[in-house]
Amino acid sequence: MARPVFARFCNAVCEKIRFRPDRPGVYEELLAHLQDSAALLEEEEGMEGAQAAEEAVKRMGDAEEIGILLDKAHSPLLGWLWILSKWFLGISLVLAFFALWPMEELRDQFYRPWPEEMFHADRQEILKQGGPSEKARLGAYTFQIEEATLQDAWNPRYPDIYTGNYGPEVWQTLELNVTLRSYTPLFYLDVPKLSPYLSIEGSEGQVYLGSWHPDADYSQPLLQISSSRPLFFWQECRLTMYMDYGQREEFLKNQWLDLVYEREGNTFRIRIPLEEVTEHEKTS
Amino acid sequence: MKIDKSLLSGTTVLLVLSLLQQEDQYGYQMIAALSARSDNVFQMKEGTLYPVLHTLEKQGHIKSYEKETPQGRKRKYYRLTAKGQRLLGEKAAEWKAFSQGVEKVVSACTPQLQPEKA
Repeated sequence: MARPVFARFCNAVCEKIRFRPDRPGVYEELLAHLQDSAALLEEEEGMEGAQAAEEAVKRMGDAEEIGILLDKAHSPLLGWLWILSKWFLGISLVLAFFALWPMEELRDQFYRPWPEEMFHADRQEILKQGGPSEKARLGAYTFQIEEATLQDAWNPRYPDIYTGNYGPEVWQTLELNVTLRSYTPLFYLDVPKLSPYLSIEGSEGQVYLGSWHPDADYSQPLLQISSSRPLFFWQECRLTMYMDYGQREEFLKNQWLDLVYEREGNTFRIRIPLEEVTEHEKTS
Repeated sequence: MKIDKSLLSGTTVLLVLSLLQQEDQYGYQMIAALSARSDNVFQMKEGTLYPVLHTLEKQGHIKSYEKETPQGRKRKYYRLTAKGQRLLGEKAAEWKAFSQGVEKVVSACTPQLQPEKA
């Protein structure tokens, strides 16, 4: 804590400096000088603390005169110009970043591929695949299906956890996998909450709800979000739907499938890009 | 001997730059050095050093940095820049020419100022 006499002197000097951002630095420098001066007076001339402080202030000179001289050295015009130019440079760099660097390239710098063992099946045969889809915009967000696959998978049966009995050797499912990306340049926004509001509609008129939907019927195929990974400006969702053999044929009748988002009147719809694959692509 | 303020103010920049050419110093250190090296001829009002330092810093002749003392106190040190080095050279040459000129004139007039011999 500075002595009151020091504080009075430093404040009297700083009051004359019109450019306020520079005042704290000047205050600290003058205070340090006064403290050094008083310490030396106590040590070398044997003065008492208060007396040394008074003498140190006296030796500094007239506070008002010093303040006026310092004000000339701390021009408000140049000072504010300097601060504004720093802000302008910072904002320009941020704008240049968004304007010049394509979002897709930036995304690829941060992209981490899905660990494949997450989706391992004994055997898979891709029936249809495609992507990326058209983009859909809703508010500040842009949505796009990065890729989609429709495949048959043969999965090993595992023993029942209660009985220990093994079922049939393999379990065939029809899987629909959709990778949906949502992104926004407004990095301060939260990632959008998608899962409760997504569904798939098929050309045959059937609607496939998410497993979290209050009307979800567990006897029907349900949409699941396998994982949702927030990236730099993007959120990536992996949507999966499993269909048993009995549901497979019904599903394959659909000529097209749309991914639909609906929440409180806000909606977007994206056609899921699926095209027949060649024989070579089926098992690659 | 007390020196006229106007004489001192004209040479303060030269004195400050000369001190900083030796080593980096902080404000109080410069005041003490000025007094010691001049055999106490230069005893300016200490606070008037800071407008000079801050002006030189704004002009780019010196730059400052903070350093912590062993006691934990922060001190603002000043260092001569290349631009300041050039200014020092100019000021020193200017002072040399000026002081030599003054000396010549005063020396020439000195006989008239000598006390009359009895």
